[in-house]
Amino acid sequence: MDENELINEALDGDLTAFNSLVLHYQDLAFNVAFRIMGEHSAAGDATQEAFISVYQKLNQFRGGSFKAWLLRIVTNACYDELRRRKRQPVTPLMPELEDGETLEDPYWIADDNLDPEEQTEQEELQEAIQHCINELDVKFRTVLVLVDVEGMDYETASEVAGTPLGTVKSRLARARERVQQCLQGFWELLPDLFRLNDEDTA
Amino acid sequence: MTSKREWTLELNTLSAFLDGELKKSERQHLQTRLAQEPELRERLENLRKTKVLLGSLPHLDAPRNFTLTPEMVKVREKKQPWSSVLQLASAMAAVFLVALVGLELVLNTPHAYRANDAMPLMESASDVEEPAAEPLIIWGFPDSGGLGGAGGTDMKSGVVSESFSAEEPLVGMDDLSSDEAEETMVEMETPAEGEPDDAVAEMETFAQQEEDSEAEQDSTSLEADSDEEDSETEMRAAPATDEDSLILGLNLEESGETIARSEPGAGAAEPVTTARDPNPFRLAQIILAVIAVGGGVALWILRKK
Repeated sequence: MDENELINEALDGDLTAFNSLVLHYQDLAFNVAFRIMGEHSAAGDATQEAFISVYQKLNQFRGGSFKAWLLRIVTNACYDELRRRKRQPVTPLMPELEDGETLEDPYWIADDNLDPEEQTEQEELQEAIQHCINELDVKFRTVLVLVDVEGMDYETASEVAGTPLGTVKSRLARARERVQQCLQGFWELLPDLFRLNDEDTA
Repeated sequence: MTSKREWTLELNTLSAFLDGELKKSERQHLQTRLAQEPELRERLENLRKTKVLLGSLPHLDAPRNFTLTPEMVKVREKKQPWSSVLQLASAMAAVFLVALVGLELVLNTPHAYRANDAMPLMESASDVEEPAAEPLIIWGFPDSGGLGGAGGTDMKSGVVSESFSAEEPLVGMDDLSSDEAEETMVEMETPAEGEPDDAVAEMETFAQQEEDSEAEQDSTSLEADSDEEDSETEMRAAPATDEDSLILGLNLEESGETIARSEPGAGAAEPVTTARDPNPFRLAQIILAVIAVGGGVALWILRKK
């Protein structure tokens, strides 16, 4: 069904229509939330809150890109969740799913064809990258995730982040530079091709 | 050695170049520089690697469905009816309030005008004689001997003239004077009679007969207006409290005469107070205003919460 039709039906109180939108966007929303939050359970909480918020604010949607509008609510939910967790720190011992599953969950494994050692290295690299993302200020992090992880253009990122285009541009550049510097601390994890020149990062 | 500001500007340009977000002129300028400056080329390359690394992060599937259940949105559904009811009540109250104020203005304007006009009459009457004004004029029935001769033989007691002057503002006859008494027209409903229209017709007929037979009689005309109800109500109530054997305004002892009943004790002022004291308009306006404002404030508080 067309997205606009689903939105209109959801506006009329059709929860099934709204849930169709949820199913369509939940992976994207969760990904953005996870990359911003850096934590699985927190990302799940933020995503759920975001969808509830989207349903409640659906009558405020004034057309345009529903995806951008939804992701803006997701990022705001992430900010709220981060603030909440800053006040009440939660330190999980290991990544754990809502339903009790652990790292064995398939999505933690990027490539099933890798041998265990390579698989481990890849996971470590991903964790290192995520660690470097988490080191960024949340505003820089959001822009970096939207553009470099999710592949959005500047305009959409600007709409989602609610900041001017120029701000997106400068934040993204600085975020990339910081991640680049951060990754030098994990140079042993980086593939040869991606090992950076220390002189340039100085 | 480039300054920090130049370094940052250069970084922004390189980053935008990677994403193809540079204007054509900026891109050409940067390409020229890149061809000449290996250090700048290497910096660009490092940024590109970082971008590729970030882009290599796997796309995760949602660990579960985030679909909403009716319980999750219950809060919203619960709030909506209250909000709607308050909105509706507040809006309706505001509309009725405006309508009521308008209606009151329409009704009160002529009333106030007449009351003001009547004041000199009332004052002149009270100057001439002591009040003893009666609020009611009840005409006798045709078979009692006459109707419409308001002055009648009772004029000697001054009752009728007092009745007119004091009663006028009450029954809406303030635009009349005793000089206009030739124009006799009685419109009156007798509660004891069957159809009001029949009674009025009968009374008009008898009034005409009275005119023919007693030319010097003073008379008055009663105009039905918005205050007629009040005067009629008083007229209906009068016979029940009559202690002077006046039945429906007919004095049996003075058959053949038009009988005007006067009850000074009942007072001319009483009908005025009964007509004005319980102001239903004011009461309704206050209630509506409270609902409108209260509803608005409650809505505001609910939305804040």
